Amino acid sequence: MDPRTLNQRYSTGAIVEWIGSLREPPRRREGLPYLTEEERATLDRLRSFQRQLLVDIAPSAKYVVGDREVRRSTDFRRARHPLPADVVRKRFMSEMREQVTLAALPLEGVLPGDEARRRILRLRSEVSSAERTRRANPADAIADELFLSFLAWLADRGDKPWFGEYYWKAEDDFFVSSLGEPIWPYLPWPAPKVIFGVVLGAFVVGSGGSMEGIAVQPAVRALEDLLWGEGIAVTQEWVASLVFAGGSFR
Amino acid sequence: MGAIFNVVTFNENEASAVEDLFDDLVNSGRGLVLRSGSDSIKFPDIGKVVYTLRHHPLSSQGNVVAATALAQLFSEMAESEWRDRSYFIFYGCAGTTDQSVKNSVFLVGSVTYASLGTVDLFQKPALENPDACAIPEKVTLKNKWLVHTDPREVDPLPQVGFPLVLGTGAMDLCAVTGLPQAQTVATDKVIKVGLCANPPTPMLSGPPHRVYSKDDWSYRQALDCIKSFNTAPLLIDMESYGIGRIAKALALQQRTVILRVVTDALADHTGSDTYQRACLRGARNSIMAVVMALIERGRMASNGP
Repeated sequence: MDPRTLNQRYSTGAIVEWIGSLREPPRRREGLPYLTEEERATLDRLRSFQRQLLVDIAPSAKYVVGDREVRRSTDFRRARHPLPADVVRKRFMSEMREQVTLAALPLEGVLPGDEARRRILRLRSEVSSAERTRRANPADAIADELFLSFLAWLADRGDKPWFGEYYWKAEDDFFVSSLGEPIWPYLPWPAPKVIFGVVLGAFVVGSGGSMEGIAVQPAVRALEDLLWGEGIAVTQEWVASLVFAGGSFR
Repeated sequence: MGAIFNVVTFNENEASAVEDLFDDLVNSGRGLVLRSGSDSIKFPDIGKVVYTLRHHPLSSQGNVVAATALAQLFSEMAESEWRDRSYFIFYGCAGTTDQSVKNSVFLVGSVTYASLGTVDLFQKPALENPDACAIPEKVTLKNKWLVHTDPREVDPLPQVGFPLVLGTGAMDLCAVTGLPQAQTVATDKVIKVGLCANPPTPMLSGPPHRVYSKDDWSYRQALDCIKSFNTAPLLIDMESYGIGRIAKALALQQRTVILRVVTDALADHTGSDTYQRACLRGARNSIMAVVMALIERGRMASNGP
């Protein structure tokens, strides 16, 4: 790096500014590869709701990890969530839309590609760090993968094409390395995938304000990728119905 | 909590640049950057985390001296809680085979050692005048230490890589800082010959590796050959191999970084001491570029769940 470029990028003033920022609350330090406490709390809440959704809406699901099969107890589910399913679902969707919007905020700024990518790596490492939990609790694994899928789709809507590319290229890393084996074959079809579609739809409608034409094509593509090999034909109508289902909770 | 960044320099000009950097930061730091003894500065993070930059001016050169310095710094920390929170940043000048990169600063990604060879007379002394002092000496390198040769006697000395710069370690410093990567040749002499743009031809091009006819090479041939290994700019210095080998032996590769400022072109050593000083001073903020990247990475790690 020539001295002119170096001293433009790392001027003494900029360095001192950075040193000063170390003493400020993290929120002020835009563009740096870290999660603020607020963002972390948002993501934690989001994950928590995803797990809750799996418990509430996929009551008969069989979760298989390796050669171990886990069946969720109906009694346990009822004990935790005595409300009627549609009420729970409605409450969840409302909350989810808010949480997802909050979670998306860091990605929606004007971060240069590299910095945003670093932020995504950070998100990824957050999820990877829960590996022990994943092994013990398949529902956690599924919730995390849904979360990642959602973030990928979110960033792949067109305004962040780099992230979509990164995500799909890194698919093996996400889905194989972190768990040691592929996860998609173990998903209890169809509940989580439909849930994903509903969540996706909720966000599409929730963020766009109108479902006509917006993001249906990206959603089709995302679901085609998601459902590849499942023998399910993903049609625009099918996705649109998910979008509508999601949007109806708006 | 916090970290210590040990900044090591070899000559007076490099040391002066680091001192200037420290002065700049203290004088412009609005009280955020404080002197901590004559060779150190420190600045606090939010909370009780303190980062310290400590300058170690060696005032001597060479692979052995640099390696010893790293080993000594590390051993002095052996019983200290700081041992696991220390980084070693070597800041020094370098020569180049490419005039266009003069005055630029690079991160050293890999280094090859080119020094083991033979010193001989160009001609045998005459019988009537056995005093050979007037006869020029010829210095060559034994290529078996640089590349695989046929016949094979030994394995060549391995090239040493720096994971933080190559992007194979915990982070990719080049990507994060924007500082470009260079490959270096470490020698123990001042090299004043450039490339001849005619690298030796291998007998076999591999895989698994090129094989050359066992031979004595001139420095120009050696540089040509090493230059052909990859496309990164080729720099010549006198310390990186010693640093790299000892860092590897002490498992410090993830905490060792070498910054090189190009102050000389090999075939044109017209640069004055003043010019070298100016180049090193002009690139001094690159040290902070590395420090900032390492601190951010540390904060990310400690921020984890």
